[in-house]
Amino acid sequence: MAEINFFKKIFFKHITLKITALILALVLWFYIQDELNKESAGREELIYGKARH
Amino acid sequence: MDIMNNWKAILEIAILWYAIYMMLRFVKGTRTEQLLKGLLIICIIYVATQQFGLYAINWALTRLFPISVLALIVIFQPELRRGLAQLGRFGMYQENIEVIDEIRNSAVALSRKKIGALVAIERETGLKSYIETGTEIDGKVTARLLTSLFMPQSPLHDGAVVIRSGRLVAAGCVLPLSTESHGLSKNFGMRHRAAIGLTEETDAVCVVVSEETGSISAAIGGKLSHDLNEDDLVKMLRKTFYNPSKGRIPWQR
Repeated sequence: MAEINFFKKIFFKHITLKITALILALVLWFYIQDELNKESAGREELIYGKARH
Repeated sequence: MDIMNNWKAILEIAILWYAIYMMLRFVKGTRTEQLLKGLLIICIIYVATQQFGLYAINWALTRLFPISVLALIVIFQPELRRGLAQLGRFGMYQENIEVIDEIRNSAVALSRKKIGALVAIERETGLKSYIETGTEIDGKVTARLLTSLFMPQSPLHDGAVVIRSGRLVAAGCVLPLSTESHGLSKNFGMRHRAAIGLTEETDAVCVVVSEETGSISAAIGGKLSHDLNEDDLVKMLRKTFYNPSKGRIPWQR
């Protein structure tokens, strides 16, 4: 029982902050992925585009 | 390969989540919180201008972005410094022992002079609403500062001093009075009732020095322990604030 309460306390403590942080982390991660994809696509175009012409 | 990438993504999101969560906890209840809210609103406006094709506003915000990064570093300089210092600090336990000792020394000095005092120490529940009723200080907790704040000539002597994260954040704060009498003797005045009142509503710990008798009391969870000597007070504070199972003092937020 004490262990359950301990885990409950850990999970629910600052729950709003935890959820906000999770949303922000996901948004940030997807944004970074998008930027990285753009960067690599741009590089590919620079390399292969030049080669094609 | 995909499984490996998924694990990497989960790990990256987890690291980002933890960093953002710690940052949010660090700024919660401070002025930085309001600044961050303002920043979030600007970000939302930026995304909205992109979505709705308001290119002039979007262009202006894009041009403002490099300047605002510089401005943010200047605005958040004290918080950044404090955050980085906290990140690299290891002697936290020793530091908190020092805070307890300073409170003890001040309580003893005030008790000898029969000067009334009320010190509230924040734990998990925020005392922001009570801090706002007083005067902001944000100073290092020292016995000399605490003693001088409660001197009858001091403009801030009437009210409570609030300690948060080992810092003396405000003085002259108004605390809620206990509505229950708790069989309190007539010797206990408003300070004792305020200490009980606050500890009934929050998990804070209050140290009270009686103006009439000079006795030292401590209130935890709405219960008052009175006529404490200096050793009892230190034992009580250390026992309350240091939880060996967690390996840290809970006021470290």
